[in-house]
Amino acid sequence: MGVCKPIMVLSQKNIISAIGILLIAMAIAFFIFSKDDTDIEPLMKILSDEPRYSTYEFPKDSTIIKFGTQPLYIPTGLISETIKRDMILKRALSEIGMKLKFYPFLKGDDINFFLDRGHLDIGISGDMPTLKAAATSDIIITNLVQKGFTSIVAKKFVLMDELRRKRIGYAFGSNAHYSLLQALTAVGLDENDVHLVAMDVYEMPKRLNAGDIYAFSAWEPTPSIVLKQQKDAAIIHRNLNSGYLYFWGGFSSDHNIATEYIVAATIRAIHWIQSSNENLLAASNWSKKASEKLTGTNLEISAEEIAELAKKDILGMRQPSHIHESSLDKESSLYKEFEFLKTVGKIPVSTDWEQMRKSFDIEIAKNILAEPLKYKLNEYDYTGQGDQDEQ
Amino acid sequence: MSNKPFLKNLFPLSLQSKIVLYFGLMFIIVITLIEVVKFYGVPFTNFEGEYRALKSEALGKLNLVADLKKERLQRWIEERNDGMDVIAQSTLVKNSIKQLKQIIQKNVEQGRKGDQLWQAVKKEQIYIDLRNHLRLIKSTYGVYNEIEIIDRDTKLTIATTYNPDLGKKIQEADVYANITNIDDIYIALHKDPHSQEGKFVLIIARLVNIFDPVDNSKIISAILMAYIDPKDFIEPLLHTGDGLGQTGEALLVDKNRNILVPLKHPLSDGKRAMPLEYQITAKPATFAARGEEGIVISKDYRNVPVLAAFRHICFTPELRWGLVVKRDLTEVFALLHHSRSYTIAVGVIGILSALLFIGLVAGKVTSPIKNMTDIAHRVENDDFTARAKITSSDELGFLAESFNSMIDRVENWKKQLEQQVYIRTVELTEEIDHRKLAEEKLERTYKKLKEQSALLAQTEKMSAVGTLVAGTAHELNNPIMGILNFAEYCMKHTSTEDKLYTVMQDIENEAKRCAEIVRNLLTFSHVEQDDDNVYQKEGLATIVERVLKLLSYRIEKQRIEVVMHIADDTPDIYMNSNAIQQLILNLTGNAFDAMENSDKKQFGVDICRKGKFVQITISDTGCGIATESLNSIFDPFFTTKAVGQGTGLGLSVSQGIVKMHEGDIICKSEEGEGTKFTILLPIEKRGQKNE
Repeated sequence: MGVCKPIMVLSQKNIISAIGILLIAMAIAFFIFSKDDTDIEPLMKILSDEPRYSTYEFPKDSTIIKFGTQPLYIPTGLISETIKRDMILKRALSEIGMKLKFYPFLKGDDINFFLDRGHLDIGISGDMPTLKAAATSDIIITNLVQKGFTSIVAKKFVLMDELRRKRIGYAFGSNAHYSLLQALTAVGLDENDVHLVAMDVYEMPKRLNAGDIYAFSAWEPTPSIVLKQQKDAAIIHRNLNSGYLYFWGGFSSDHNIATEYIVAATIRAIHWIQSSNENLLAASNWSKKASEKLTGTNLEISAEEIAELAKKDILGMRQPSHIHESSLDKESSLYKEFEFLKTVGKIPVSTDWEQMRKSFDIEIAKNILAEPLKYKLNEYDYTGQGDQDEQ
Repeated sequence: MSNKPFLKNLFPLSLQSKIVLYFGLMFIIVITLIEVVKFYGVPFTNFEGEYRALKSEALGKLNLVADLKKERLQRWIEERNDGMDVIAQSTLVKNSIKQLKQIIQKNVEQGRKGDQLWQAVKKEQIYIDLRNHLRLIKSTYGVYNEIEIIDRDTKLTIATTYNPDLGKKIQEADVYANITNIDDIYIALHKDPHSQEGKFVLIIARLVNIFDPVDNSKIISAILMAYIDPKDFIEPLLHTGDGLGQTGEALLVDKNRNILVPLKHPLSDGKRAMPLEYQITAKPATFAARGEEGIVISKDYRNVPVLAAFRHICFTPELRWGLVVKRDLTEVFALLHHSRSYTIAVGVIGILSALLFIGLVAGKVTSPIKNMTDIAHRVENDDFTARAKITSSDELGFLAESFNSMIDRVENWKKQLEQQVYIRTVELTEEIDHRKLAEEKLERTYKKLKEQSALLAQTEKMSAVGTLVAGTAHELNNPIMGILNFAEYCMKHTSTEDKLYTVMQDIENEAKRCAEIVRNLLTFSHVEQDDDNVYQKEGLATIVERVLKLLSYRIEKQRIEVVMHIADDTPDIYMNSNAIQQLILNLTGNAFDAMENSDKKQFGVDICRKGKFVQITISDTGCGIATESLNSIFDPFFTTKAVGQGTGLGLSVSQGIVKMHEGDIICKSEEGEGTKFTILLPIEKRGQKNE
């Protein structure tokens, strides 16, 4: 016992020390190796590696109008897919020797990347990427194409401040990104208090389910897909966002007729979708197919569900299309978003709001609405084959 | 000093206490852990716990209520819109407006204006029909306070269910700004222009476009306005339905955070906030107004913590309201707190019950051990009657049984050991006694040997002295006898009056003294050469009387009182009569000598039996012997008398005589008081006294 006792005592001490060291090592490893993609510039990374974009061809022919769309973005995906099939527009453009070519993208920042480099003429994006583009590029924003919510979805119902130290998926530079930052700020948190994980919006349901992320911020239909798949998942915050149709400044000034036709086509598409449930469902189906073609995966949501989501957005609203002057006031939410984006460094601090306002052409849509006959706002022909004009 | 740690010394714990403490602690930890896990869940896992579940439930409920209220409000507004749509698209209304405008135009062209104009219009059938139609709509729908049609160009009311308004300009100027297109919708709260009480009214306005019958491209625009009392519809929509509890409230704000319905509670300063006049700054209303939806814990306009679900109602991209559904946090989490209190209470009761149970079990388990401990103490204190109680047939019962068995064996061993010890002790005691006896014997033998050695040495010395003395005495005897004879011859032949006769007498006396000395010397030397044959049984009293007779003249001369006491049972003893006589003579002579100058002259003789001995005590009241001389009085030639008065041999000879008889002589003396010699002489023949 005299020999064994020191050995036993030593072993006990060793075991306790070993456990303590192991726990410390695990904690250190967790913090060191926990993913944090916020330091990497996701846009460059994605665009340099993104195979689908790398196959896009952007012809230098100025008669081809290159239109960047977001099939995954409800309801703009419905609108853009409807425009794609608009034979009235096609004929009108054909008369002026032009045609449209559509390029689907995963998010607005991706559209802006190509627009900025002159590869695209038209874009459809949420307010954050639109404001960013307006701050950094020469664009003309013509009408509203979305007025709905982006949502922060969590694995279970928690309060926003319970996201501290959690991994949160987001699409960098998107509406949802802004909504997330704003929601965090509202409860006294900032980017440093959470682990932001940049990812494509269609990846979010899978990664939430796998436990890789605790929550994500995204636009429809992604939140609805997750709520359908995971019974415990819940929307813990929503933010009203808007989406806009905008043109590269040079195109708009060079091709103002084409611009008007396209703006009119947007308004017409909205009217057509709003006019009946069948139209809404048809547009939803087109949007779903386009999304699935873009992502290469099945969208875990039905066309009917897409239609319901679209109705909760601008397509369910009256007075949808034109941009109200009041929305450009310094009291408006758009201005507040502009200021917020400056404070978080997403927009150059030196950007002036008055300069930004000049990017908004609020008259074009109003004028078109004032001449419904001329622009055939209430005539519809959507018999076109959308994929013929698609990249 | 105890070697135990300080705390153990400070708080000594019994086994029962330890069991209660350890198991109790374990139980407390387990129960607490279970309750904590049950209530708060397990971190980093999917198990949420009751707290989380209740909280989620509370949040979910409020969320649901907020969603429901939003939906109902939206639907109500849509229904009103649809209703307005129907009215605005009605052919009757359109045609009536068209015709009415023509009539008004005609009257204006006729110079009528002001009241005159409108009195005339009132009488027109088309106006009456239109008004009645509007009244019918009002009564049919039942939601509109008033319905009016305003000429967009003149901004004047051209048809109304409220007659006083006819021909009046509407006060709500922003209606014109916001109603420019057929799709434009206007919904806003305003002060009721038809009320004197400062009430509020909801105005819904739509544009009615009628193509000019003459010029088809020209459009005649009118604004259809409906006034709705929010109290009748919106407030009930907000405040009906369950899910808000006692403290719940739903409030509505516009995009500038102005309240659209009165608040349920007064403000923190006690004032009542009025619609459109009070701008809420609380977070939930702010979030709702700016387009956010969610749920948050915050403070409301009363500065009271609330759980608030906020919703954004977007009728048009520009027409937006914020809806807040809130409940006081205390009420929301009352169930949670109650559940937590209940959990704690159950936990505490569980722990206390467990501790009690553990205490009882510990007591039951440790009781036999305590009993055995007591028994062990008793056994330790030599009480071998103690036995442990066997109260069960488990390990403790077996232990008690074994314990008792062990005590039995120990008791037996003890007894055996004691017996062996006793036996051995007895043996050892006997041995010791024997040894003691042997030692005593040895000691006596040694003493005797020593005495014998001394005696032998003395005897040898005395023998040598005796031989010398005898030789000398023999040598002297003859000349002394000669001198005596010659002295006696001379005396015989000398007259007594002759001086010579006195000289011859002195010579005779001195010669006789010399002869006595020689005789004593011879006697001294003869003592060392004793013979058993002269021993015979004789009484000591006889010897004493004989001696006293011999010394009668001294007794008379010195007037000595003789006290003699002889015990009746004193037997005769075997003695050498001559020697004993010599002995008594010496002692008596010494006694008489000692009393020569004493005041009291008493000579005592006591004879009695002392066991196997006869004791004779010879005492006097003389001058006594000095203490320092007492040890030497039996030494030959020791004397305290003046030179020429004694030879110093008397007591030495006396001692020799006593020893010869195997007796003992002791002297006790006190200077100035007297001397006592005690002699013990055996009754039986020497050598036979121990038989």
